Amino acid sequence: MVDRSKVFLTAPAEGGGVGIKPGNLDLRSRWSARRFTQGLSRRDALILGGGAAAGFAIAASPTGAVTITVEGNAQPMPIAIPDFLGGTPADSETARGVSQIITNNLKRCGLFAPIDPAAFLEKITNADAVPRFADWRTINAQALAIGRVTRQPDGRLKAEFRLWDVTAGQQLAGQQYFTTPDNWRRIAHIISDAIYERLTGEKGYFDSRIVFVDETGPAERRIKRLAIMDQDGANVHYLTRGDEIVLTPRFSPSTQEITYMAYGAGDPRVYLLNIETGQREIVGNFPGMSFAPRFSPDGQRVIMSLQEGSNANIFVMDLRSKAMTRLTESPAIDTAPSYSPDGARICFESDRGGRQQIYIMAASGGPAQRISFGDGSYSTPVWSPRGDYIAFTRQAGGKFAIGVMKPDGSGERVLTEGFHNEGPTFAPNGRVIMFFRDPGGSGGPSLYTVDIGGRNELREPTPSFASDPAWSPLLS
Amino acid sequence: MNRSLAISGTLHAVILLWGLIAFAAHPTEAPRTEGLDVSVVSDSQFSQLTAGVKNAPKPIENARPLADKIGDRKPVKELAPKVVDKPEIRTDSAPPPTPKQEAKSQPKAAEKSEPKPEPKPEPKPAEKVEQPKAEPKPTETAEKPKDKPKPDQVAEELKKDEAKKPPKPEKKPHEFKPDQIAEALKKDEVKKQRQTQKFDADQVAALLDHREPQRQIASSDTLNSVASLGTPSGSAAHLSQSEIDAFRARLNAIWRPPPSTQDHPDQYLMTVHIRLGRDHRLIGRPEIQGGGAGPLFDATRESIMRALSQGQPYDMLSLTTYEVWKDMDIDFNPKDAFGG
Repeated sequence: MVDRSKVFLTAPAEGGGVGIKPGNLDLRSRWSARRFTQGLSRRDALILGGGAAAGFAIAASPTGAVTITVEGNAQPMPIAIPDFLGGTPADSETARGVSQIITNNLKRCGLFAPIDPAAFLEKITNADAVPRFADWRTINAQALAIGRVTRQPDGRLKAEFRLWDVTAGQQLAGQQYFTTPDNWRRIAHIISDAIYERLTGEKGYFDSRIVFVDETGPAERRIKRLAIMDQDGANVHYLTRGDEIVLTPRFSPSTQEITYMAYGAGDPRVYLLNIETGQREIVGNFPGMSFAPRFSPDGQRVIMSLQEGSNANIFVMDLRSKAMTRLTESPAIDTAPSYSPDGARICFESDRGGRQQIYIMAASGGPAQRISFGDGSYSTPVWSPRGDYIAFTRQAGGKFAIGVMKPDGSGERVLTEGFHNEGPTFAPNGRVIMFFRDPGGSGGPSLYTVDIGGRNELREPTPSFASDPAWSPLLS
Repeated sequence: MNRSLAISGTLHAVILLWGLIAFAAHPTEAPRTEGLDVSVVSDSQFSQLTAGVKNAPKPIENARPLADKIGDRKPVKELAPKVVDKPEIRTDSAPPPTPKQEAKSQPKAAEKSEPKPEPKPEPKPAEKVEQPKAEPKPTETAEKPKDKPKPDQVAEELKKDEAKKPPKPEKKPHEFKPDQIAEALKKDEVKKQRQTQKFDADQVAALLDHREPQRQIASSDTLNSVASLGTPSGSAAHLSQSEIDAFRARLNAIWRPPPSTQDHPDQYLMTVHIRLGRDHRLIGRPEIQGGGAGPLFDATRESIMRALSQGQPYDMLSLTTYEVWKDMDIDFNPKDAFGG
């Protein structure tokens, strides 16, 4: 594991570098005073600006100054990530690998545009020196990440990095981490998250893993194995042997456990699997089949569907007491339950109204409220870790779409649509959704990511066909 | 038969060919029109903007005088003498140069004692007359100043009289002569026509007033049918649309608000007060107003600071309008940055 003894690296003294926490951003108190004095007329000016939504407004402000509205753009931010330095020549290969992983992470997330190292003017030779900002401004870099990886006498790896704001010429972040050498990829992901968080103001998602169903073999005799990999497709491990069908794996939010459904000779069952020890157990002991399991946000319970005749209802089981609680009782198929991040509510799909639609009810059960009213049928709802959206699969007009809507059913938007898209899962920060897409024909499914704005759709690298992805929480 | 067929065929072919070439589809060359941003402003805001041009549809940048017809270009009269007129200053010791030119045969020695030099006032009229605009009488040009000092000579006397006649050359009554004649001629013609016309009751038009308009029509080298409202007096210069557009476009191109501001864009709307120097660069630190505390607010503020700093120098703003853009309030609104 990575030693989280994060040491805050202060900015080097030379060159007048500014530390990360100067009061220069602390303008709030000063502002509030001015704000109150100007409150009303300022408001008018803002309304004026807002009225020109697609354009701009020019007006005389209370101060007599010209007022202009700027909207900005969604272009990725240019960032320069020179190869990290090796503390010793033997470390330079690892160091270069770390910076390449960071580059790849930031590029794939769509918010950053790593600059081609061939354009760099300054060759970084000292990770502690203040860079020549003019050189980095020349190539239009807005941020610069410099780092160093050193093998310690005790065999551990020390990785340190500094993030510089090139435009302002000041250090934004600086940290160091210790880990075992075989964990160097995680170090790279953690640094990626630190950069992402510092520049976007929200948590990253790079230090996370994906569990999915790996599919090999011909379509009629497909071997399905549970597999786990890093978020960037590296470090693939297989968790099952492939002698049974596995479906809908889900991460525990708090432990190294996965719950999934599998069926071989008997009925489909929900299993718990410890990914570190390989131990697995059946969740509960029920007469019929159980499916669509998912952990509660505290990891203490598993919610799932149990077959009851031709219907299915939702139950929750406390993992410690093994007590089972019924949440729905309807003459319909209620399935695919997912908790809200605060654990207070549950969204699920049900065909109680005819076609499959998304419903929301309290975590203790009770009456459910339908939130999906669009064309077609809605299934596999999953609540964002941020709580702001519910992602779903929508089937309409012979096509499968992945979309999101707010928990009150408003703001529905389709992120991708095609022959077959299914099984959305949120990245830990709720900004990216992974799903699987089956192009039909003789091929097989693959994993894709798309951000919740519907942009930056990318294929996730997997060793072979893959389906049913589930994103883990952040590992650190 | 065959021949006429051939001729007909050939002609048809020629016409078809010509048609093919003449009516060949040209690529549509519709001029690209740029959309004009429109903003709704209240009366008071508009009057603040225009500073005194309330009634004008838009601020008139180059106010021009009303001109009904195109006339000859008339050079502007100079109301003040040029400084170049030095050589004409005379002293007692040095006799005025004029007598030499005009009456070379006459002895100047005798007159030296006599002259009443009036050096100051004279250069002025001379200058004015000299200017080419004033359809000058050839006699006036050089002689006027010279006349006065020598009153005794007959020839000079005559000329003097002439020079006196137009005491103020500005009047230039003679200039109008040709025009007036033309006018008079025209009027006569009109009169004649009118007289010759037979009265026809059906021709109601004839009953209309055909008198020449009494108003003097203003003439200029270009037609201008819009009466000017004058230049705004309050603020001397206006930021032009293109200047603002360019300024805004630069910031729009480089400001990258953090994507999460999309979820609640209203919370992340920030107003920044900047001051710019004549070098088109920021003076001091931009003052950011709005937003709260937290990493996302900090990241938003930093993204604004980066954009403002990176956009320098704002050389699309011209120095003539410096007074207008030296202080600016900029609203950074991430609402539309991600296209909804």
